[in-house]
Amino acid sequence: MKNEMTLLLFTIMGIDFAMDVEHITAMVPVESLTNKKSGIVWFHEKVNFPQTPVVYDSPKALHIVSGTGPFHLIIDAPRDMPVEVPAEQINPFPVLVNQFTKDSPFRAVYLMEKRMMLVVEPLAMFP
Amino acid sequence: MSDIQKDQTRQDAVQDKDVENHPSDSSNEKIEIVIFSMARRYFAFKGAEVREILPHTPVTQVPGCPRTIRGIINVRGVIESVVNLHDLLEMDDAPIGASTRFILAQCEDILSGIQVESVEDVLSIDPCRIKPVISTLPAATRKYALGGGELYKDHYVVLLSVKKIFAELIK
Repeated sequence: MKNEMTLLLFTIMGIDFAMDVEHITAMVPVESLTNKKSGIVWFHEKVNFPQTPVVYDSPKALHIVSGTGPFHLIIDAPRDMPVEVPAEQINPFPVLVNQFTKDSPFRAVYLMEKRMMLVVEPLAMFP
Repeated sequence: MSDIQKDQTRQDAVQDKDVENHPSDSSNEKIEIVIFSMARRYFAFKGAEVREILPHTPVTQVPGCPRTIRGIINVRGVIESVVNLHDLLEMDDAPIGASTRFILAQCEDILSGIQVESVEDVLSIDPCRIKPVISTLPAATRKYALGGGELYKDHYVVLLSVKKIFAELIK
């Protein structure tokens, strides 16, 4: 793991997430995607979200470039600025949880003060 | 007894005893059990399997986990899982209350919180008071039970196995 990660923080349905900005090329308003017919994915569609229906209060679209092409990933309530995070603040999942995250895009947990943020690997969502 | 006192008691009580295969062992050595309640029924874990008792804190759900895993909690900077014992025992979930606790349990190399409605007491008992599992227990309870008996204020207490619970959760 790198010594430091730059993470974009966002929240969907009360669950905090953090995504490495390395593969994010832009963040745009969802309204700007109205003419796009493909390559748009809602975050909750890529993970088995515990609550349904999933409601987005202030959605934004992340432009992500992967090996299979560019995508727009719609997230909710992103913080204005990414944060620089030392690697030692990134924690592994406990054993009982880890077995269920191996096939998911969740890689670890970022502890920001008392909040726990699930670290997402974007390329695992768009292999 | 305060949580801190219980925690200290737990740490003092953790011993390398194993009654799992000998629930009715008639030796004179007493064992510690942590008694808790859920849905007005009483259960216990062996003290040797309990590391500490924690007050309830918000649980972060992890998408993709089954209902038997409530999520994760932050225990002094260490991330621990939380087991949904209500689901395993096929009980209706209970609202979070002032008495809700996490029992941080350990078996071999697995450590996890287990959410319970209330921790009632920590007792030192003669192992011979723990009788074989009774057939009238619900099947979902029998699956994780080591034995039981009238161990707490004349209430029937089911001694549950942390090892069996964790084994169920490991794929």
